Amino acid sequence: MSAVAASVMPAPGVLRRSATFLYRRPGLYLVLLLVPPLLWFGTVYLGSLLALLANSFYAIDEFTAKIVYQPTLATFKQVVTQPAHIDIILRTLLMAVAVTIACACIAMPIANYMTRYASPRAKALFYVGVMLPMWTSYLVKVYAWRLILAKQGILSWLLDSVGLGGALDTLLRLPGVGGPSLSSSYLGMFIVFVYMWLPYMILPLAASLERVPVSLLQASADLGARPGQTFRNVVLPLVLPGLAAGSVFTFSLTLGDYIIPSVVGAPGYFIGMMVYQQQGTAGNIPLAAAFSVVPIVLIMIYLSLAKRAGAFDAL
Amino acid sequence: MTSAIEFRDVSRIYGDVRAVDRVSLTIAAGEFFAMLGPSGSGKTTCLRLVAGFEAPDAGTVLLDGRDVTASPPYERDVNTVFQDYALFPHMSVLENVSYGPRVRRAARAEQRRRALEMLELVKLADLGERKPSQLSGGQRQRVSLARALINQPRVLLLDEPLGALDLKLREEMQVELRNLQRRLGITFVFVTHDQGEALSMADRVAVFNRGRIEQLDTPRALYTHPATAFVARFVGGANVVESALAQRLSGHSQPFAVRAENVRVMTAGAALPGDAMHCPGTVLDVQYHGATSRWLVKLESGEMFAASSEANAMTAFNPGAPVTLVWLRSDAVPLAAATA
Repeated sequence: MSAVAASVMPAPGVLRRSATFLYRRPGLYLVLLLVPPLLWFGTVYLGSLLALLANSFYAIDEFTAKIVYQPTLATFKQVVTQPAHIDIILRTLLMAVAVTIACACIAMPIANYMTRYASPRAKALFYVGVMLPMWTSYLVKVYAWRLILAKQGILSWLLDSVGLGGALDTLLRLPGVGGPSLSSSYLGMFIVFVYMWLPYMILPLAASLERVPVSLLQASADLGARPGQTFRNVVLPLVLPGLAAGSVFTFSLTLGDYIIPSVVGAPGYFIGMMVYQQQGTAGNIPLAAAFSVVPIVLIMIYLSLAKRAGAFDAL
Repeated sequence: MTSAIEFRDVSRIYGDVRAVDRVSLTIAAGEFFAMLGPSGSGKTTCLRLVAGFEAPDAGTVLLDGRDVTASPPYERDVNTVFQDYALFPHMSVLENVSYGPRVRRAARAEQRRRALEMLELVKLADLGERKPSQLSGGQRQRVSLARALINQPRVLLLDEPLGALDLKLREEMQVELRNLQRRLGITFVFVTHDQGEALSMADRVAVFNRGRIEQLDTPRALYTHPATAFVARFVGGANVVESALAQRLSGHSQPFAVRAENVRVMTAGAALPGDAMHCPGTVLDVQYHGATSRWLVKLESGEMFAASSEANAMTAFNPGAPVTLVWLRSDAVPLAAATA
């Protein structure tokens, strides 16, 4: 028996013997595989985040502008009590909510079409189309949008030439969202945000729609549900996890972005800009850190609300 | 009596495949009707045409004498038990079952009462709060049945309803479905590729092949008098004697079928009964099936023949042994000439 085996199998080399050694010890194998990525994840990824958070518990000395390494909640207090800071948080939050809702409304029909109705070829084209903007430079896109939305830009020219210039002017006269031109209004900023983050909503939504079997939709129709009822009772509850994932992207990306608000839109500050300014020109690292905690807290609140609403029941 | 379902020259074409090819059929109210055929024969497409998940490319579908060809599923008085059960995973068993009345806007108390009644019917009354993922395959099957029956449809469609169950459970469900159908008096149409299931459960069976109905008959007639070679093979597992061999054996060229249990394997050169047909061959294989044994014999002309009998009723022949196959003339069932 062993003679036969020896004649068939070549003498085991070092590689084969160590492979066998590891195969027999799955625990050791796992540790060897996991340690490098965990080190990266733990130190570089989470560690730097924790270091940042730790900074938010310090404060800056008003006179010397040096960081005082004494744990304090003063910086946080500054963030949540100063009216100017509250304004920034509310403005950013409102924008994030509006962008998220708009992205969801636009993404749902597109994702639905992609997954249910498109031919395999059209589907591939749709996926490429959705991701194509993500492959180009972020800055180029933002500046391109500034030109599109400018006072004498393509969009206003287009609207003028189809006779809708008046409608745009009326829109821009609205208090709050309006401004002298689209490129310097919250409305313009909203459009750019929606454009930028739409793929992040479509992709998870399409992935979760893909997982809803057609037979469930047929069963619903079979039992007497009209298409609207099927959507509300079957499709929507089952894609809620995807919707939640997508909205976490659009929501947190809007909360943290500082380039779009500084290139397009009204002069009001956003959280990201505040972080950028405080850690840069102002040199107030603790305040910047405290501001960057705000999106984390908001996302956590959002997730716990989503969980309570049952968004993850279908997972 | 009005017909529950009627197809008039219905066709459904995918690309250049005629999944359903000019099918006409009538299913009577209260009938237990089976659509039998191999996969891709068009039986499931026919079922989906009744349910309304597909629209025919030609022809007319009538339910209770009413033309529903263009009606969507939610306007048809028909419910379906899906092959994968298609239970809503985010709803409890009770919510699944009460879905029909719910989307038809029945009062809440009414929804609940009827759902509990249905769960009682399928003997799952105490599992209403569970999620489908917490049920066994057999239980899911029953929930799906209860959900489909709650709207009191005129017709219940079952798409390979027992396919995913193990043998014992399948036999139990066969009896149960049959009883349920008698008790409720609803027309049942069920699709299966299992000829045993179709024969044992249905009042009438339509045998599908390549988008067409080869034969529509009672189970007994299908088994004893298959009309075509396909039906003879698919339903009875019978030996089909094509024209050339038929000419030599019987003297005329009409093809015929002989069921395996009517063929006897005898030692080559043994005395033969008078009114019999016989044919020499070589034993290829013997399969032991417990109660019966099955011989595979290769004829000299190259065809394969099967013979089966009670395990010990025939002499044991080893593979390679020369034998003579013998069957009575009256057991040869004439078939329609080959339909390609």
